Amino acid sequence: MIAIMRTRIYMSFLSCFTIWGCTESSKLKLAPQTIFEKENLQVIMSGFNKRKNTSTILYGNSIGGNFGANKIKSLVPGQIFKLVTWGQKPNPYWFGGNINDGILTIETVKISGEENGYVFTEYLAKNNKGDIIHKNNAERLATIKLISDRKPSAFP
Amino acid sequence: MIRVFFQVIVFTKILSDMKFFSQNQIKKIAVILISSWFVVYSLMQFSAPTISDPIATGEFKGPMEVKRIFERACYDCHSNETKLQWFDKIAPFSYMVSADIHEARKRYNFSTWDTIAPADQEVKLWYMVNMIEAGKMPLPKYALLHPKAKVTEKELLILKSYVTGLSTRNHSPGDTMKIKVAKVSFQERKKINHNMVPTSINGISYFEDYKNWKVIASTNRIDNGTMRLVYGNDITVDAIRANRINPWPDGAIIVKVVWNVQPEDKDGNVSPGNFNNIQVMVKDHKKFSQTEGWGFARFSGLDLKPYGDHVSFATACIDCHRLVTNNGFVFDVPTQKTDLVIK
Repeated sequence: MIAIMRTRIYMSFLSCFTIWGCTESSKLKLAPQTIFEKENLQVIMSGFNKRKNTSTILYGNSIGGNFGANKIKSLVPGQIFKLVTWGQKPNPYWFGGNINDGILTIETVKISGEENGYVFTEYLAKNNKGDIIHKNNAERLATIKLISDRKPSAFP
Repeated sequence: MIRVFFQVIVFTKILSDMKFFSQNQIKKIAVILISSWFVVYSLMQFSAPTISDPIATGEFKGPMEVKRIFERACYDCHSNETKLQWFDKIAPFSYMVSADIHEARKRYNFSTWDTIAPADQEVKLWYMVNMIEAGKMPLPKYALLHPKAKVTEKELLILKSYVTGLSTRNHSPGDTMKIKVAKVSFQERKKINHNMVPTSINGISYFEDYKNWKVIASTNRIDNGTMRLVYGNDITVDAIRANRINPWPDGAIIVKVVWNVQPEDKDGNVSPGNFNNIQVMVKDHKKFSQTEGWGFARFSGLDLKPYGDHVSFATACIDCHRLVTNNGFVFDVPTQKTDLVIK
């Protein structure tokens, strides 16, 4: 029995020498909650703001030709836009880089109708927990303006 | 070699305890093994590799305080001015030191620095800073016996300040060119080209289904003036959710779309400028076993020109990605803000 114990100890000792230098600690904490559930939407454009420390992506549905080489700029009924804003932090794995942090707000704009050149919009803003948050008129208009003036990112 | 010596001793002790052999037989085995080890060890001293120091032809030129740090911490391996310690010349260390210096000079050599294109010099300088920051450089095994190679926190700040200043000068004006857009959609282009699609030399083809995938990260970098969206397929997203990224499962695909950044507007907003390139990582541990199971591809410009003339181009990719071994070799993964451990 003692011989077996001693053998095990020696085997452990041998293993230590064999794998010496090959181990590394890993304490990574992933944050899958920062991945936006985009459903059937696609990216129209993205951006970031160094002063506010935020990054944004404007998503949209395919109605009205939001994507591709022949995308149009006008707003047409049926279009849905979601402007997602994340916090931004230095990339922990690359000095010189920034990466998005948690989701701060999800603003949804639906183009509900159109009459005599005017479009009707429905606006809803939520936080990362799904709670409705109230934005003032200026904030709402800023988002709608960003959407109506949108310059889609150039994809190949 | 030293490890082998200890293994021999432990191995003979185990044989002794397991009573497979008599004590005399054990002694004979031990004598044979130790003698063999000694002979091999002695022969290694005479056949140890030598390190040549060719004349420096185009040295690194930077601020003196930066150069001094590089000279002290990096030049022994990454230049032709190697100053070996006496123990570096003794086998088996001489073999390890020689191999490390050979590899180090291949990666970059401060003595032939001007042979590297300025843009690549910038890339390499940032890589050095990040390798030091992550504790990967100097190599821990080297720093153990060569403490002068260690870079202090204060010195690292000097290096960070240097590279940040360099890139700020180079990239802060932003992309002011008119933004080019694809004249036809990828599908139309595919039809025109009889279903031919841009394909990397390792067989990875461009595809556009990633546009229907989830964005797993949104990043931007001052070191090259770009912003990126990183898409992951369902296998990738599921792996992140299940915390199974080291290793990532086969079938995981990550696509990074890179744009130049436009100048910041009056409110601090930065928008994407011209499309730069698309990078693809495909996990297949059998097919890409030489590069930690990841296949790499890059398609540049709106015409999606594949990068690399030889499959070995991926070696440079994985060399950089080895900085994040704990992430399964992927840099841009969503992480919590606190308790991050990168060393």
